Amino acid sequence: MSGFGTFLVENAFIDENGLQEALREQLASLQPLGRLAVKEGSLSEEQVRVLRDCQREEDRLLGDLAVDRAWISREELERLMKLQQSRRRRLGEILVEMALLSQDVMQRALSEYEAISDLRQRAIGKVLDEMPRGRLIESLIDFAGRHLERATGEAYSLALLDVDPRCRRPAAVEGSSAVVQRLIGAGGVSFAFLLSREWMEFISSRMLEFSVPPDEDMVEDTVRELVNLIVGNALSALGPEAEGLHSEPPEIRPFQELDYGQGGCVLLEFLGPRGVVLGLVLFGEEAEASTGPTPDEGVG
Amino acid sequence: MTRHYQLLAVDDSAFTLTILSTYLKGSEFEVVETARNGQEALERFRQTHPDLVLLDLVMPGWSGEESLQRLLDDDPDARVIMVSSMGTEEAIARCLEIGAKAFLKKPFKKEGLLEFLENFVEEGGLES
Repeated sequence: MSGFGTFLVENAFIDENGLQEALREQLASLQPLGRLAVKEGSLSEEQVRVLRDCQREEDRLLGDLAVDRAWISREELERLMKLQQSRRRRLGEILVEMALLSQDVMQRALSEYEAISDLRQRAIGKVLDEMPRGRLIESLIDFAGRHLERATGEAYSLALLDVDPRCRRPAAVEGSSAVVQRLIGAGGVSFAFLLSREWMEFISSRMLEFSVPPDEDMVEDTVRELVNLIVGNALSALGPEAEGLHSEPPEIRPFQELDYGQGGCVLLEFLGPRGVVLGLVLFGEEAEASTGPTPDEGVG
Repeated sequence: MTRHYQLLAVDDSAFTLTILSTYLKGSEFEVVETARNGQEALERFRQTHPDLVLLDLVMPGWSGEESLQRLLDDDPDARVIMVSSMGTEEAIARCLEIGAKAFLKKPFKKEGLLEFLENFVEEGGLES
């Protein structure tokens, strides 16, 4: 799924199967990290050979094995992964090559998508400007992207940003859990990542830098900490504007039990090499409920 | 010979305690004891008398500020560094006023954490 891909399916340019096939092709178009690292002078061919041999014994990513051996730094790995992402093939180009769209239709669809995205971004900007906690929401979105990249060591783009006053529940995440933290007070909001168990395990392994094999409790504790960092940093960045807000400890709930209240939500879609991570900023009565805890139980 | 410092790390997040212990392993700063809340922290502090306490700002039960106050009531020479993702100027000022020696903002990387602690020692943070 991607912003453009979802647009193509929703507007019947292609069907879901076609999109999935094209996305698989796009993923396969990524230049292997080892080859890229050699080309960039980060690793020698001999080092990559050694790492590939290790991969046969251990089910680990080549980049992580290189960092473990201090052959490259975590920062260098992040740079290589971003480079790898930036060089992947465009979805439109793949769809044309697979004859799922003609060049003309693809160009027309892309123009429509870009025009709608632009309008949507402006509409969202206007909504955020007018909201009492607009800057807080922008700050949450900003730190959500930053911490997701930092936690996973992978590059993400904010592929879709939607303000939906009807609180539409995104269908793609049924079965996921919401890792949610509430900020209580006038104009309070809640932030949530919607994560499958596989995503939680992946994020946890990355954040723990494989120092220990995470058990179930540790996995959940790690993703709670990720959300805690986002909310805490977003609040700090606001300075005096954040006065009067305090937070509940983050918690994990089945996605279906996420209470949208009577307010609205901002839907975030972070597109990365492993697919999409959805985020939500909820606002309105639910987030402003006065039944919250004392300030003592706030952000850690 | 390099001096080694014994640390007590206090945080309700098992993830944060694991990261702190892992990052500091093999360095001159060793996490010798951990606690998940303020009460536990006070007990462990009395048992181990660590050189330094890394204390989460906001925890269920006793807050970070209350835990800080109780640790200092128990031992006015206790050296405590507050740790939090929510480092607003107001919160930092309150903790320093109570008697915290410094404030460490989350997130941090291994190198950043070590540099912070080394500077803290160099600047006399562990002196009475």
